[in-house]
Amino acid sequence: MAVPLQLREYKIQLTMNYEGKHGNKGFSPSPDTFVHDVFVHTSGSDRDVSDESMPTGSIPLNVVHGIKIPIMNITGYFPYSFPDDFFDKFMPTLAPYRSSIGNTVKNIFLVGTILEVVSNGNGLFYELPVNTRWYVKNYTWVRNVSHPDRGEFQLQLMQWFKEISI
Amino acid sequence: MKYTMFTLMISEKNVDGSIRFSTMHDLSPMNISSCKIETVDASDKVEFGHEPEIIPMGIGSCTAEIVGTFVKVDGTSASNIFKMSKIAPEIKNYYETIKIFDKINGTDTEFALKLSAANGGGTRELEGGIWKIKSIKMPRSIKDLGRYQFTIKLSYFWIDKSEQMLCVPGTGTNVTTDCKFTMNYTGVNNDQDPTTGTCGIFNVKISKSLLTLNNAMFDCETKMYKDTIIKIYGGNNSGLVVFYGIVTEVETDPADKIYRVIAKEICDLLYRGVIGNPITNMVVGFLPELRVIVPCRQNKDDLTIDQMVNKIGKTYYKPRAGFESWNPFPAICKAGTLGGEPTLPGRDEIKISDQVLSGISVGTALTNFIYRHCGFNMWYNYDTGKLEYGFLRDGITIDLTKEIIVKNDLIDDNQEDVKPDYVVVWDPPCEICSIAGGYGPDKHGLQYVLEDARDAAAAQALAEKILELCTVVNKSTYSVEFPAGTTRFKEGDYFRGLGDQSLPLNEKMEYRSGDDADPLDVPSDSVWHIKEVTITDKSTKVVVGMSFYSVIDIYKSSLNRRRDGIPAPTKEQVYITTPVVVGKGAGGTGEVDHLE
Repeated sequence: MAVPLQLREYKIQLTMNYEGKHGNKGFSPSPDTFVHDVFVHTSGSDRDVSDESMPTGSIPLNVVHGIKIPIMNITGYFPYSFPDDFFDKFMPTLAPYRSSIGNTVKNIFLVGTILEVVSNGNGLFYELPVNTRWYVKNYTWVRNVSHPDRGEFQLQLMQWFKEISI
Repeated sequence: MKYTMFTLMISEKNVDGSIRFSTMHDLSPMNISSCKIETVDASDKVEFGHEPEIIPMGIGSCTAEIVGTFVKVDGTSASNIFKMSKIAPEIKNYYETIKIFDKINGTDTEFALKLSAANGGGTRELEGGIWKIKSIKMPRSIKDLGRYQFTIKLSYFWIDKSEQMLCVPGTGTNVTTDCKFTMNYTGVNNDQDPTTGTCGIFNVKISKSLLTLNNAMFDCETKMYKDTIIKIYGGNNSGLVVFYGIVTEVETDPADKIYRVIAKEICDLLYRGVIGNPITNMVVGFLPELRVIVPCRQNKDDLTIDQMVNKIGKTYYKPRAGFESWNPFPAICKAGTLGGEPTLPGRDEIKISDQVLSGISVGTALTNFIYRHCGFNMWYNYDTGKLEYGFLRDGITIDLTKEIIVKNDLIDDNQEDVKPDYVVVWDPPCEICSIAGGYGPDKHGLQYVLEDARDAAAAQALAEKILELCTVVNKSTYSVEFPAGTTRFKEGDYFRGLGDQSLPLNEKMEYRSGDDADPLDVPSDSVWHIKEVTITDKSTKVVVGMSFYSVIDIYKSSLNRRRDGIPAPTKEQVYITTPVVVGKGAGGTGEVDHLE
């Protein structure tokens, strides 16, 4: 079963600063009107808050200042046929946003940006409540013989809280 | 299927040492049956700071994997090994034409692919980038009818570093699962031999609580005796005293020569005797004339809380011979100026009362006064042994290099059995009855009895505070587990920043930070307050709840929830009757007296 989902992407403006220990403190989020229309397979969701996220050698990103943060893995696809609709109709909408870094499938979801859930199939995909924000940790695009005309994406998301600023 | 055509590229070094790729030649067309691109963030990087802060450290890697076969330009599949002369030159000579790595003129050289201008519309996922070749596999099997099917793994070549958002690696640390403890001991008028010393201890369990005396259980190879005074050290700060106590029980197993020891907090010495007259040493204080009472006034002045505490302690605690080194007095108030007040905390209209000490120990007398009467928490400093009291102890800013939440559970949400719409507060005679909230037959309500209600306004304020407490304030308590070696947390401490959003939706532990300026004031700045600590060799667990001191905490036994309703006023009626005389009707006046 696939559930329609809309995700609004928030761009993180990059101000590089190579001084100091942490070289990129200049990140700041700015709202962007771009919205992804995607379908998410409910059977492909995986809310991971287990001890797997516990540190084994380094502090994981989802443990911050004493807070443990949920990790969500979702699998979905775009409502565009590949490659013509996908590249002719869908990708150009990304162009103004992605022009500086390339307009490719690789960059549909930008790792390091924030997705906000705009709609979640009227609650069918309740693991992603509306208005919650998620940090994109990992994005994988797969197209093969099983779905040659649309491709699939897998996202690993980390919930983003208002207390956690960037 | 639209075919894919790549251009083979070779690396060259720029003057500044950076790498660029230049074009070699186009490869033969391919049919790509599978394409996978994976972009991973530079995870496991955290920015530390007083406020919670995640710094996105950017992309760690972007890799691709393509699976396909070579085809001739006209699209004919190279499917038959016996047609070698017709297949793509890459099959015949691929060792020469598709290389992963080479050494040219003594310089390490890499190879890469990018979609050719002559690409037939295939594998457009890889558009717009140069992909370094990481590996190539070209197996041939009967299953594939002898075709050479290749799997190529690629890695995106970052031309613009801002796209990758480089990070600084090297932050982070391991989580420890084991902790060593040592113990200093001093024998006092017992058989401890040698009298003083240091030894290692193991199988340690140290329990600390705001409600009961702290205790420690452990094993050691040094023979311990009752009444030996001990200090336990260990954890992330080896010089930190984790427990200060006195041995109360020792078990020996002759088979393994291990001594299993139970120790109580050093203040156990305060609970071992019964208060007596300090002059006559008469301890039988049950007779009224011998009763030990500390009046709340002295020389016409009201005693302050601090004066009362130290008067009880200094006047009535006499250490046993040999135990003079531990003196918990003078006690120290950790609640600002409240210790210098003659009134109860949070109840400015009520002064402290006389303290009757007969038949109890000094420790119990202090508990009765500090905890039950005044509503303070009390504890003993692990290092100096001094008695301290107040609402909150020390603030803790978590050190994320060592003190990470390992596990977290909701223990109790501490909610009333009903979520009330209104609260009623009345006094026992029911002359005062105040209601907060909207009430009615279809509403849920709670009722409380206030033993010493002064006026309706005070009762009204109390009702409103209870209603807020039952409906707005999160009174949940949680068990939070930290790695082994987290030994600096003490009962009464509070966290300057703690929360866990990974729990199930209805059990989420909200993030609370900062300092609770006044625990008696509004609950909005409440922080996570440590009620209990359990330290073992393997982990440290704390039980935390809100730091806000509610009216229930302040009023304690004088404010109680009632479930059996408000008793109606009593009326007695007495009927006086006279004998009935046959033939004359009812006798007498038949009047009735109403006695109320």
